[in-house]
Amino acid sequence: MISYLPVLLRQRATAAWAVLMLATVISWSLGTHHGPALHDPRFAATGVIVIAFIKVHLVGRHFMELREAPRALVLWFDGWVVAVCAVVAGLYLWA
Amino acid sequence: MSELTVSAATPPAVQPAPTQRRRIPGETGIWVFVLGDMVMFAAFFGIYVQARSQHTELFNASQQKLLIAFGAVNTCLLLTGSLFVVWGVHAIRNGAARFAPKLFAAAFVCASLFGLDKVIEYTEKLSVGITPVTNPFFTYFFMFTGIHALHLIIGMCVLARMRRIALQPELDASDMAAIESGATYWHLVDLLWVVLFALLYLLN
Repeated sequence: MISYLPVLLRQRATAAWAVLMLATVISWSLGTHHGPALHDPRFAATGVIVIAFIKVHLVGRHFMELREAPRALVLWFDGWVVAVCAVVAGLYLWA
Repeated sequence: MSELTVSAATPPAVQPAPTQRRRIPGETGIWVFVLGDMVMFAAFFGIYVQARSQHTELFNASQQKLLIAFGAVNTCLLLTGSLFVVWGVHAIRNGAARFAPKLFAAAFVCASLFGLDKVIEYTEKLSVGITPVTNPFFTYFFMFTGIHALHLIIGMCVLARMRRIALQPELDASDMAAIESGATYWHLVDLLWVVLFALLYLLN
């Protein structure tokens, strides 16, 4: 198992996992108002929403293998990501 | 695809369709389910944010009673579990199928820890008198995290089945499709939690 680890660590999905973990820390920081957008909580909240949906996109692309999927499936998935992100952010900011 | 056989004992194994042609990962049916579930959760997210905008003070005050660390640790556990699943699928496709059962078992451990974290969190809330009927925030909190927990339990059964399939000495095309479909379902569990964590724990 150990001998195979270097092969696994070189996978694109491993890099995506590292980015996802980093994004989790950043959104946690924004959510607790310790991040760089302290002066306006609405910026922080919008950042939290956008980061969450960027993470969803990364999960789809690199974990669910949408990079190699038919374009129609990719469009459905990414269309969901963009639409739901816009609706959630819109409701948060303007409802 | 139907002639594909992957051997755990004799690497390098056959990879599925080593071409640049685009393919659906797993069975088509699992994607119908995944996209349907995503639409259902999209409605949940919209309803929650709409309700939050109408009771902002109440939701903010209630959210202060959540420990963000519970949600953050669970996010890390699910992301790591998903990575193990990706690695397991990769191992099967690349002549290292003998490692896949261990990787799927590692993902199962991550899922179990997520469940344990959730039980601790629920217990802590209930012990101080916070229940699903305390106020609208906690109604949504328990309802959405409860529905997600149901997905998690199903996902743990799926991971156990994936491990059992991966333990076979030889995998045919239907085994591979079952593993890919299981992996896709597991990533759905991860994906939904990523948004729930942001909305329930962080958005204020």
